[in-house]
Amino acid sequence: MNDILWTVGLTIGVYIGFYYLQDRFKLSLLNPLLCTSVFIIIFLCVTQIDYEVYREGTKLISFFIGPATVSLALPLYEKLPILKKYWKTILSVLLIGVVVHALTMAGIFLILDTTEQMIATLIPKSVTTPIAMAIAQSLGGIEYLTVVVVVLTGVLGILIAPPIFKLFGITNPIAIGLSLGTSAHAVGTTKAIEYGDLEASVATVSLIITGLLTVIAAPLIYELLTMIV
Amino acid sequence: MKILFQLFILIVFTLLGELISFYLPFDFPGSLIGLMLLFLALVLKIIKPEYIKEVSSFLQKYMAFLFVPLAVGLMQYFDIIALHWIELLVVLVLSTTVTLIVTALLTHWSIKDE
Repeated sequence: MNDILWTVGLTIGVYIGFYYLQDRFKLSLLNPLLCTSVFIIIFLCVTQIDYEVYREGTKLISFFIGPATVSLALPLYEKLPILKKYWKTILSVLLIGVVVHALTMAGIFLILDTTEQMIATLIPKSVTTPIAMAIAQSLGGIEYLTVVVVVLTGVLGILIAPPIFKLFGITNPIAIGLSLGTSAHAVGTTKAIEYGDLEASVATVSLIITGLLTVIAAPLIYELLTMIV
Repeated sequence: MKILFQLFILIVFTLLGELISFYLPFDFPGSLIGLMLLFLALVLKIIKPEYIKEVSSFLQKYMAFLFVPLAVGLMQYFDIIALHWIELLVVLVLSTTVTLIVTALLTHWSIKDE
């Protein structure tokens, strides 16, 4: 049997199903990315099909993440005038975001009494997967666990963002894009795309700059955190 | 031919990014390098927006869908998640929520004040 046909077919079919369910019930918990993934995980567990078979079959889908990410240069270019106008705000909030993220982690680690290895694993959690893996590796963390945390951070981010924006009355496109890109990397950016072009371009900028800042700051944050704990 | 041409341009920039990333002395994702190169090419008017417009908006519209196989990959790590689930849950929920709220509110306030 051709694995590409059924894996890709199943993924598209289930995604469409949850897309319309969410459209109908307007619940952020019905997020199509989250629900489709959970559905397929359950399906693979029940049918005892190996994840490798599914991964090989859906390579075609994952392949497009690269070109899709690269294509974000277009909204970035088109919204350049607005980004230029607000660059000071954007840059300073991004810096504060990285610091706040590190401080929150420090607080949690203080209470939880964790190991240095776990700190190294969790520091890069809010950046995009390839950067996060590289950072975890260089600090001596558990790379696989970092991947898990990065993906879960993204999914959690798009899940909690809409209710949080509602709760705090946040409607400004720059605020929406920036917070999604900083706290939930590429997955957050997919949510920002759903909000609009300006949200998408701010999220893209935030994704890149947060990634760069974290690459530079991670060793320092690690030193500080391991000193505290 | 237009759609194929647009896809070709995006793939060329992705490839360029991957190549550069391979030779960089530190790890930085090729797709983000490709993104910056394409952005530069747009600013320098080497690439016109029309060259990539339709395929770009198509890919961006369905970008969340593209992440499904990656998210399904979490199932490989159930044992490691089970081992550390309390730490993971606390760190995930607290740090993501705090970062999201702080950055959203700060941007909201500072732009409103102008």
